[in-house]
Amino acid sequence: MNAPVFKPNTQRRILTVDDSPSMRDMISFTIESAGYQVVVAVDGIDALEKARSNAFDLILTDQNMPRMDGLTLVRELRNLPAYARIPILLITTEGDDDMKAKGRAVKASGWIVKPFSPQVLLDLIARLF
Amino acid sequence: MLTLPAATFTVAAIIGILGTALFNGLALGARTRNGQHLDVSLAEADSALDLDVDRRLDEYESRLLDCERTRARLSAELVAARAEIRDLTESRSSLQAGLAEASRVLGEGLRPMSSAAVLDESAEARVRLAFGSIDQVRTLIREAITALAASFRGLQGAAREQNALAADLAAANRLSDSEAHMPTIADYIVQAEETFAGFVEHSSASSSAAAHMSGSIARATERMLEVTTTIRDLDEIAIRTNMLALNASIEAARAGDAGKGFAVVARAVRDLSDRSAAFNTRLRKLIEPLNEELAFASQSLESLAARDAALVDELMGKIRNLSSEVRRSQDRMVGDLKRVDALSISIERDVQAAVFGIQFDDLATQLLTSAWGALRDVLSASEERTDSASLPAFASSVQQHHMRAGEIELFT
Repeated sequence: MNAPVFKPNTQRRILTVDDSPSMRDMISFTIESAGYQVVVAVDGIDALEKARSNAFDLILTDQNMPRMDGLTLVRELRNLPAYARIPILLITTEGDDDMKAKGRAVKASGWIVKPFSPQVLLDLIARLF
Repeated sequence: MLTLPAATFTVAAIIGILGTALFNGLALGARTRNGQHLDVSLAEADSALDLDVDRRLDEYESRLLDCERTRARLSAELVAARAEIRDLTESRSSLQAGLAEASRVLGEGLRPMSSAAVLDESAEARVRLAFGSIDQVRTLIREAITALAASFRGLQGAAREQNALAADLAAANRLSDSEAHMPTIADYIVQAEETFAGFVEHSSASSSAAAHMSGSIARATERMLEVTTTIRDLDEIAIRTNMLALNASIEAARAGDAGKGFAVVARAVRDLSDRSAAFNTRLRKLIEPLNEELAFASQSLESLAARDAALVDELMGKIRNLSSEVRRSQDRMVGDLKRVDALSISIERDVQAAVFGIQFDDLATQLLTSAWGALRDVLSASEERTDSASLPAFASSVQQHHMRAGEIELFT
């Protein structure tokens, strides 16, 4: 039997932030399938509020969002003691070195350029945990 | 055609050449005239030379006059040309000034036209149409993607359910060792075959017993026939004894009183003979149905044994066929389950690919939003007649031109 085995991992909570409904749906669909608990936020402000009132083990955030972009969100989160060390990945359409340097500057954990394979995302999450 | 500066230069050069020739000519004339006075006496001596010199001088004078006239003409022409050049220069300056002024005025007039997004009514309407179309496309994409995402979610759920079902069925058919304690269809077949073999054995034993019983009944029937024959012999004996008793009675009667005792014995023998005949008759009546019963039992047992054997053969054939069918069915099911398993994996992979593809929505929406914003800026600028230089810089954050997987990098 080569069918993938999906072992629920209800212990891990992941916050996914994106202003695009389809991306929110796609990411939560992918990581829920692997058994993780998912909370979604529509932009940086929303994410910051949810991060302050909940505990998350990983945050996946889009870069280009209204109200507060991903880089600003990462910088704000890193100022919160609870999120000083947890993995935060930026998911964006931009992959040039300048943007990555900005990501490093705000202490993001990694950079994912859209579009990306759902399986690759799951593999990456597994590596981070 | 010569341009004005070139013409001026040419005229100046000609005047220069002519001026030099005139000066040289005048100097040469002075020297010649001095020589003429000096050589008067000699001229007389050589009149021919004088005449030649005079002629040459005349020629020079004539040429000098020609040159002078030419110079005067050229000088006049030069003056005229200079005047003309001056006029032209003035005209050019005036024209340049006029052009500069026109350019300035035109530039001022055109500047809003060229640098600001001023659109005529038709163009503005088209921009508004494009603006609306982009908005419409964004809405359509958003709704389609929402429906597609829900569909893929359902598809993946169904695929996983199917996969789990196939896994259960496979486990039940010992395709997997995860639930080895559960009996399989093969186990059921083996158990059924063993049970039926026991039944066949039992049936065979019953048939043997029936055959053995049938033989016993046949032998009992033979004995009964012997008994019947014996009864017939006893009948014969009874008849003969009765005849003997009758003869004895006759002889006893003939003997008179001396035969009275013998007559009593003869009567007693006759009674015994009659009782023996009656006993034989009763015995025959008892034995004859018994013979029929034995014959019937024998036939029934033989028929039963024969039927059992045929039935066992038939059932054995059916069970063998059934077992083969079940085994073939099981093999087919195992094959089908493997295919279902493969299909589930394929569906899972396709759903992942579809989920990957759905990201085009985000890229397309971002691009459309950029285009939408650019159009909005142009429209606003047009409406407000503002300078396009004041519009915000236009750049799309989407770098992708194809749906190829992007780079992933973990920062250390």
